Amino acid sequence: MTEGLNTPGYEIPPEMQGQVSITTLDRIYNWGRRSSIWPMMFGLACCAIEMICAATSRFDFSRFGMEIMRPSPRQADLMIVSGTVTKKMIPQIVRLYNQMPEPKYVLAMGACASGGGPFKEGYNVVSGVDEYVPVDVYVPGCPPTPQALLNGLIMLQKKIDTQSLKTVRWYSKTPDQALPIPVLGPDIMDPRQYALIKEYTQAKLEAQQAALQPPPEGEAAQ
Amino acid sequence: MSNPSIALETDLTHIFPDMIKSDERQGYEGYIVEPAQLVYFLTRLRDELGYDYLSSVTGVDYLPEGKMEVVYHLRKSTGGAPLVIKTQVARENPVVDSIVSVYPGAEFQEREAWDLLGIRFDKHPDLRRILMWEGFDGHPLRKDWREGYFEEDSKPFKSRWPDGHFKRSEQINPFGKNVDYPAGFDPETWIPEPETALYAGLDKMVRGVEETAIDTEQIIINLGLNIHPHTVYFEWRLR
Amino acid sequence: MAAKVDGETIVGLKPVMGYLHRNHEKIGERNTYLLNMPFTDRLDYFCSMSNNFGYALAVEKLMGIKPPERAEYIRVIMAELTRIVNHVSTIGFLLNDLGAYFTPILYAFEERELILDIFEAVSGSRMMCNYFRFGGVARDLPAGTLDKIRDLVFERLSRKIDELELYLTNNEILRHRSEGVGVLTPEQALAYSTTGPVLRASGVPYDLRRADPYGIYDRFDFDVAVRYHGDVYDRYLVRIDEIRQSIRILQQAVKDIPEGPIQEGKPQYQVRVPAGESYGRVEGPKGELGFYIVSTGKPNPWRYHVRAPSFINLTPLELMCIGQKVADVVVILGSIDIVLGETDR
Repeated sequence: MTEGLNTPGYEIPPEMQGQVSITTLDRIYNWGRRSSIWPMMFGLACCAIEMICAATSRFDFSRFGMEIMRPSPRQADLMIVSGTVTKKMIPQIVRLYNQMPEPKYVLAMGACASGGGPFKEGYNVVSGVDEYVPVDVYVPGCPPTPQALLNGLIMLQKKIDTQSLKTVRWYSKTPDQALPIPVLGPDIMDPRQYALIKEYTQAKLEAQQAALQPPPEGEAAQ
Repeated sequence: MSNPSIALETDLTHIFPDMIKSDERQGYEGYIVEPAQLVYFLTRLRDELGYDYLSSVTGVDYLPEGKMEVVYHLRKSTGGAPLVIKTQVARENPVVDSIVSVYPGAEFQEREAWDLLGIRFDKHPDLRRILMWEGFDGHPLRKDWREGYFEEDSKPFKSRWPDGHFKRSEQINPFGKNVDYPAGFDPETWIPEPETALYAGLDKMVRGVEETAIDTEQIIINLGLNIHPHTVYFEWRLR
Repeated sequence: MAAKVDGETIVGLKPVMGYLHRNHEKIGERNTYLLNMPFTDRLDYFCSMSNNFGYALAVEKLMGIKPPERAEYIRVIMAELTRIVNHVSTIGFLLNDLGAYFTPILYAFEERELILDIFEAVSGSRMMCNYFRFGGVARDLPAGTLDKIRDLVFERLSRKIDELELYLTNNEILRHRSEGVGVLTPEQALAYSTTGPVLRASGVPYDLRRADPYGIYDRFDFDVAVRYHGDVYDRYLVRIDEIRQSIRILQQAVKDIPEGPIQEGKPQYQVRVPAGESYGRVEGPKGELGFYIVSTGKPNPWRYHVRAPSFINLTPLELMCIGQKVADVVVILGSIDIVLGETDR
C-alpha cells in the first residue's frame, strides 16, 4: 500500500523501498483513516443481509480494513444506512449520527436509503436518509450485491483520499452543530422546518374556513 | 389448492340459523355474523366444532357501501381449509367486540386493525397503535386517507405512462418530504403525549414477584432492537 | 421491547414495533397484481421465493388457473431450497445471540451462498427473486442448474448439516442456555396462533403442507418434524429436522421433474382477475404466510392483507419471557425467528 502513500517525484532507492517512505501529512493521515474504517452495525432491512454477506468469508470486507463492525456509535467511523428508513426510526438514526465522533461518514446503501426506493409513496417511509443526515456515498441497488457495496466502500476510500487537513470539517474553527432530532407529531417534523410548517397549516386552516363561509350576497341573489 | 370437500362438512346456517347467514356476494365465501353475536358464536365454534386455531384477523374498508368489515379465518388443528367468518359494521365509528377472550392470538392483529383502519375493539386488554406512533394523525389504510406524495389511486400513474412527464415528488410537496399536517397545527406549542399507555400496560401485567435474597428494584428497560436480534443494543431508561 | 425487570428477572414485557413499517398493504392496493410480486419479495427478505409462492397461489385461486406440471415441480424445488436457506441462517443467528459471535454464521452462510447462486442463475437476483408468475414461473431453469441442484441435494447438503450438528447440537453451552428456556405449552401455542417451527416444537404436529396441501405437496413423502418440550433447544432441533426433510423432498422432486411448459397461457402484464376474495397460504419457513386479497374486477386489488407469521408469533413473547433473565430474552427472540420486514410489513 505504500505506492499510494509515497509522494510522487521523490526517488527511493530499491534497497530502502520497504523501509522508507516519503509522504505528506495529508497523505499519511488519509491513508491511516481510509484503511481502517470501522462500520457501525446498522442494518435496517433487506440490505442489511447483503451487508452481512459482504462481511462473511465470500466477499470479505475486512481485507479493506473494515474488520470490526461496532455496535456502538461511539466507536464507529462509518454508518452504513442499509434498508428502508421509516419515520418512526429516523429520530433514532439522527441521534446515533450525533453520537458518532468525528470523522464520520454515512453511506446510503440501497435504493431505499438513497431515495425511498420502491416504498417511496409510503406514509411511514422517509424518501431518502439524506433528508435528515448528510450522505457521502450512495450505493444503488435493491439490494445492491455485495460486490456493489464493496465498490461503494472503495469509492468512499477514494473520497477520503481527496480530503485535506486544512479544509476538513472537524478541524475547522466553528464548533460542530449536532443535527436537530426530528419529532414524531401528527407526522414527522423536522425542527429546521417549523416555520414552514406553521405557515402551511395556517394557510390550510384559512382555506378550510373560507370554504365553510356562506357565498357572498351577490351570488345568492342570483 | 385445497380440496373443497375437506372444507366444511356441514352448512353452518343449519346449526346457527338466527345468528349467521351465508356470504352471497359473487366470488366470496364464508359466513357473515351479527356483530352482537360474534363472541358467543366464536366460542361455540371453538368449543363444539373444534375450530381451535385462529389463523388471521383482518379488516376491510368498503367505502362505496359505507361498511367496515372484519374477517376472521379459523382453522381446526386437525387440518383442513380455513373457515371464513365476517362481521360488518358501519364505517363511521366502527366498534366490534374483541375476541381476545376467545383466541388470545388476536391481540396484535386487532391492534393493527385499530391502528390502520380505525376499527375500535371493545374489551381489548390494551388497544393502542402498534405500527404507527401514538399521535399520528388519521388511520392510514382507510380509502379516503391520502399521504403527502399522493398522485393517483392506482398505478400506472398518468404522469408516468405512456408519456413519462413526471415531476419529482420532492419538488411537488412544499416540504420536500412525504408529509402532511392537519390544518391549524402549531409545532412550537404542541406537546407530545407521554407514553403512559405503554407503561400502564406493563404495570398491569406484573405477575407474582418472588421474594429473593437480593434486594432488587423494579425498573423499566428498553431493549432496543435493531433489525436482527444479533444487533441488540440496550438503552437504559429509568422511570 | 419495553421490559419491566425486577433485578434481572423479567416481570413484564411489551414489544414495540413499527420501525420498519413500509406500508406494504397501502402500496399493494395501488399496484396492479403483477406489480405487487416484487413487493412480496421484500416482506420476508430471507425467503423471497416462499412469499412469491403464497401471493401467486392467492391470485391464481381468484383467477381459477393452475400451473403446468413442470412449473409446479420448480416451485416446490425453489420453496424447499428457500426453507433450507432460512433455517440455516436462523441457526446461525440464534447462535450469534447465544454468544458464539460470528462463527456459526460463517458456516451457515457458506451453504446459503451456494443456494443463492442457484437463485441468481434462475431468476437474476440473489435475494429478491420475483420469480413466480400467475400460472407458473417466469423462466425455465437454465442448462446446468438442475445438475448443480442435484449435486447440492444428493452430495453436499446432508454432509454439511451433519457437520453443523456435530459442532452445535451437543454443545454444552448451547444446551445449558437453551433447554428449559422460553417454554410454550401446546395449548398456549394454539391459543396464541403461533405457526411454523414454534408451534411444532411445542408438540402440535401442524404443518400446512400436510394439513391443507397446496401445489403438489401431497405427492411427496416427508415427515412433519415435531418436538415436545417447547423450549429454545427444541426449536433449534425442529429446524434441523426440517432441513433434513426438505432435503428429502428435494431429492424426490429433482428425480421426478418432467419436461414441459412453465407457464399457463401467455405471460401478460395486465392480468384479468375476477371479483371476489381469496386467501392463499403457504407453509413458509417461519410459519403460515397468508395473503388475503379482495378484488373488485379492477386491475388493482381492493384490499391486500398479509398474514405475517413473524408478527403473530410475537404474541406469546411476553408469556415466554416472564420469569426469565434479561439475557434469555434475546435468545428467546432469536428462537422465534422473526424478520422485521414481515412483522412490520
